[in-house]
Amino acid sequence: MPREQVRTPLFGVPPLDALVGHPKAGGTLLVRSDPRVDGTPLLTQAAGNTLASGQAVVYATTARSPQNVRDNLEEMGFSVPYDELYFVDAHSGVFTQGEEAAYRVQEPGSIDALLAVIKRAAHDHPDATLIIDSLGHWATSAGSNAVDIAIDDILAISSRFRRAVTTLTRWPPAHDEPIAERFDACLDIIGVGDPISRHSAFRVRHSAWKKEIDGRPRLYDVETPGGVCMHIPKIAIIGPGDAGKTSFVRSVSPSAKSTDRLGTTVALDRGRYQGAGVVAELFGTPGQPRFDALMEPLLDQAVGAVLLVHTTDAADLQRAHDVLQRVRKRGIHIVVAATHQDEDGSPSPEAVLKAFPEISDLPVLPCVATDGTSAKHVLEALIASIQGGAAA
Amino acid sequence: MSDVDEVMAALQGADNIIGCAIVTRDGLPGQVKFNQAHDPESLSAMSAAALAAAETAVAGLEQQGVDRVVIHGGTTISLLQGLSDQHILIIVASSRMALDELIAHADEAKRGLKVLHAS
Repeated sequence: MPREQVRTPLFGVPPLDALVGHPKAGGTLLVRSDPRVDGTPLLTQAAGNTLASGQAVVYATTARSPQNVRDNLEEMGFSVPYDELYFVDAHSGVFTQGEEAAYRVQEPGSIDALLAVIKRAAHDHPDATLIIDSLGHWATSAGSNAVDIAIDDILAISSRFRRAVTTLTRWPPAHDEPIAERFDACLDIIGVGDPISRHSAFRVRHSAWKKEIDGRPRLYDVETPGGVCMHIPKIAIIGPGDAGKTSFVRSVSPSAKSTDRLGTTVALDRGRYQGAGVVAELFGTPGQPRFDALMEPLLDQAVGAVLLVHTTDAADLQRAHDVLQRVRKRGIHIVVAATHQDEDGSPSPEAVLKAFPEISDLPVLPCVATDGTSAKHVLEALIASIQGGAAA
Repeated sequence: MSDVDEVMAALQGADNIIGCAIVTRDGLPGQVKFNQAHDPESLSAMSAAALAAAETAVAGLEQQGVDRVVIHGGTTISLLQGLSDQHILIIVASSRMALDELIAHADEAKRGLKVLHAS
C-alpha cells in the first residue's frame, strides 16, 4: 500500500524522535520494557502526539480500559479531540466493563479474533497510527508463546497502518530477541539506579530509520502534565558571587526555591526547567568562597554546568577560574554565560573571553539572568550539548 | 561591657559549653568565642546554610517558621538559634549537656541580646 512518508514525529519529544528516526510508511516500532519500568507512557505519548497533530489513532488495548487510556492522555496534558481515536477494546471483554469502543473483541484470548478486528480497523483507517497496548499482556491471556506464533500476522497487519507502535514487557528469562529483530525499530526501556532513586531510561536497540544508532541509555521522566520528557538529573549553575546565579535559576524555573539571606545564597538554589521535551534539575551553588564546602556535594553527579561571569575584574575572574576548575575535573559539559548584558559597562562575551583565556574552548553566550528568554537560551545550549554528547 | 559581651561571656563560662558565636544570616562571623581551635569562617557559613536550609525544607508545612536547629554529634551538641533578621546565635556544648538545658541557655541569651532584635 504505497503511502507518502510519515511527516509527523512519532513522540513529539525532539531528542527521542531524533534517536529513533522518522518512521517510514507502514513502519513498526517495538517498545520493549523491563518489568520494573512501565513502558506504556511512551505509547500514550505517541498516541497523544499523533492525535494532537490531527492524525487518527487506532488504539488496541488489552491491558487497560479505553477510559483509562483517555485519563492517561489527559493527565499527560494532551487536550486532544477524541473523534480520531478509535479503540480496539480487547480489555473490557475480559473484565466485563462495558464501554463504548469503535471495535470490540468478543473473545480477547483468541489471537484470531483480535487480529481480525485490528485488520478491520486497518481497512477503515489505513492512515491511522496503530498502538498495541500490549503484546505481553495479550500473550498472558492467549498463551505464553502466542506472540512467537502470531508475529508474522501481527507485523503484516501492523504494516497496513501509517505506522505502528507495540509494547512488550521482558519477563525473564526473555527469549524475545527474535521478535524484536522483526520490527523496523526497537526501543528498550530499562530501570537504572537503586530502588530508592530509580530512574527510567531508554536506549535504541535498532532502527531501520537511522543510518547510525546511538544506543546509549537516556534518562526520561513522565510529567503530568507535560508527557514524556528527557530527564537531566543535575545541572549546576555556578560562578562568582553576584554573577546572577539565583536570578538565572528563578528565570527558567518560576517555582524555584532559594536559600538566600541578606542577598546572598547561603545554601543552594533549586529549580526545575521544563521545555523542548526536556526536564532538567537545576542546582545553583553559593558564589562566596566561605560556602565552598557545599559545592562538591552540589556538583556530584552533575552532567553539565553553566558558569556565569559578570565582570572582568581580576578577583572575580580568579574566583570564576577556581570554580571552573572544580567542574573541569569532572569532565562534564560546560557553557559560559557573560551576564548583566543589560547593564552599562558589563563586558561582552568577547571581552570576557579575552580576559579569561581558560574558557577559550567553551561556548560563551551573552545573558541577562533576570530575563527568562535570555537565560533559557543559555540553558538550552547546554542541554543541546548534553543531548548530543554523553548520556545524561 | 556591652550587652553582647556580657551575654557571650556568660555563655562561655557556663559548664559544658565549648563555645558560642553570633554570625550573620549570610554566613559571616561576628562575635566568635571558642576555647578550642576551629575555623570561624566555616562555622559561620555552614551554620547559616544549615539554618536557612532547614527553614526552606519545611516551608509550606511549618506555619510559624523555623528559627532553631539542633545538631547532635558524638561528643557535642550544637544549637543554631535565630536572633533577628540578620543574626544567628551558635552554641556548641558537650554532649553531656541536656538539650533542655542548652535551649534554656539559648533562650536566656536571646533575651539578653534584645539589642540585636531591632537590627
